[in-house]
Amino acid sequence: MNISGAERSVEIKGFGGALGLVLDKAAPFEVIESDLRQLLQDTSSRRFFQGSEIVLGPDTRTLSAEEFSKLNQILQEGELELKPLETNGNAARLRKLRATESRGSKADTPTPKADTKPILEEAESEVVPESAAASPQLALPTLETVVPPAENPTPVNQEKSELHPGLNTDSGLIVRQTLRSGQTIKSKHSVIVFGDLNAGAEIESEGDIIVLGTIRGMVHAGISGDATVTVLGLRMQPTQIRIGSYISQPPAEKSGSIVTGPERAFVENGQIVIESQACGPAELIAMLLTFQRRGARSKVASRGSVPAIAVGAIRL
Amino acid sequence: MSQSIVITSGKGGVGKTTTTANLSTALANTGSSVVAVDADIGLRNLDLLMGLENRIVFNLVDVVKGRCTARQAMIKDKRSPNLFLLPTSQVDDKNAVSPEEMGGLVEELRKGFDYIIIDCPAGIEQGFRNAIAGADRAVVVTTPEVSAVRDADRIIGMLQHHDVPSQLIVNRLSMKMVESGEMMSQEDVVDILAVDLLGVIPEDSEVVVSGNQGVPVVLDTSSEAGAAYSRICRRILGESVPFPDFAEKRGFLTRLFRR
Ligand SMILES: Nc1ncnc2c1ncn2[C@@H]1O[C@H](COP(=O)(O)OP(=O)(O)OP(=O)(O)O)[C@@H](O)[C@H]1O
Ligand SMILES: [Mg+2]
Repeated sequence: MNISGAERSVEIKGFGGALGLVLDKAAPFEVIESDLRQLLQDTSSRRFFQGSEIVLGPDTRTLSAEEFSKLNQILQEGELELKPLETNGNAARLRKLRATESRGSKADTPTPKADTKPILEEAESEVVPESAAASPQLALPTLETVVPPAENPTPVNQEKSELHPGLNTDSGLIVRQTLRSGQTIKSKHSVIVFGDLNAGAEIESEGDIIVLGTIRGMVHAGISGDATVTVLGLRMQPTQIRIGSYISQPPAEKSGSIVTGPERAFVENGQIVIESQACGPAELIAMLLTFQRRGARSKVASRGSVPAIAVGAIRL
Repeated sequence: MSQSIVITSGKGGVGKTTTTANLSTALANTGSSVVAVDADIGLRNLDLLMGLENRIVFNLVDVVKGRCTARQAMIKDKRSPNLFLLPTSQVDDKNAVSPEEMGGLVEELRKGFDYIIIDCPAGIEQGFRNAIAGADRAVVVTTPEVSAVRDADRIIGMLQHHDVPSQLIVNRLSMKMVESGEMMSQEDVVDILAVDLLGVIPEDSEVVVSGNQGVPVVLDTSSEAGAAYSRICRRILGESVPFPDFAEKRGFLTRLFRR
């Protein structure tokens, strides 16, 4: 979410309970450095931020290890500390990530442009289930914050996006914590949460949203209008689901017919439909693997699948 | 090793001050030295619940501003020789002290006490940041109401952000209402908040009566709430105390229908 029209290449924004650093993707790094210095010199904002921890905002420019430490140094001079976005987030984790970075990208990880090598990228095997890692189908690199969309996709990427039209980039945002009331995620990428999305928390994604936990809050998949994306939760008790320009609320009497298994929401015939996935772990992984394939959607529902219920939708 | 514990909630009126008074009293009665710190600047309550209102000379703001020493401001409890109260100011507001100053105060108190129990104001603003500044861990109090749980969730997220681990007390649980499906059960609350449950306090009119008298209910262990607070105290001391806390009263069928 950059900040069109901002005169500064650096902004500090409230992000969930934290302060997030949002950096212009296009500006030269020197400009960012000096803008950050200036921002911190401004006494009123400085008093406001002092003592806080700053995370790298989602969807911001990615930094090399060197750039990261340079910015951190500037922040420390202003008595601030840059933490990686997240959550169980701490220095140890960052160190691990740095180590990963120096090993270089894996072959099956989409390689971003050289000058935007994501510092916060991790070894793929760490999060994606093994079966998935072996499959080129699920080409979600596992990120701490965000990998920029490949701006000039290589032919390989293009091929992939034809295969999986729903995922508008080859990258995803992995969130490894329960999102609590007041915390929000907004991303250009698909979002996977390892944890719950509690009531009062929100996720907005240009792609799909997968919550490996209970969805109680608000989810908006396809924020830039793509209605082919889907939302998956292991338990769905959302405050509201939005997909593309469709918006739905669970029926008022939902408490009567509570489904306990995974459910998936998508748009069909102009309505948001929630489909029970009633399945075990194996099917779930299979489903995650095929998740991106729109065409395969209806075939994914497996054993014990409950007929889809339309929850009604109005256009925004 | 001394421990500082902040009692916090997000939503107001859910029982933070009651919990602070009772846990401080219970811990002191086990022989630990305890100071209860009222960090709810401007809304002084803790002294009332401990029955110490008329002994206040100096307060927390005086200490932080160097107008007196912590020792001068602390009031010894009427009953327990190990228990002290550091009262707050009724005339200042939350901005009278900074998180750094509060952190410094707690560090100083560590030298003299095993437990520093901090009563946090409601809300997520400066008062909250002050109260958690020196805390090793937090006890988040909530009632089994949707709004209170929502605010507790927010608070737990903010505590996590400040690296303060939290445990949960569910206060004012009415088993009757849970059974009739009108109130969330403790499991429901824990399921949403996903933190360790430290204890459950039933709705008990004795809490109100004893509060009005300035005698913490935990001194009356024949009361349900008093017994619940003393179980929580033992859990804080590291004992593993089973949860007779009304859990087993809940039938299989109710559980089945609630999900
Ligand atoms: N278990 C209980 N049973 C019945 N009443 C209770 C119980 N716990 C607390 N109360 C009552 O609820 C009221 C609020 O309690 P208390 O002052 O401890 O809340 P608080 O969280 O400190 O409020 P504030 O946010 O205003 O500081 C009091 O009148 C108290 O007596
Ligand atoms: Mg209070």
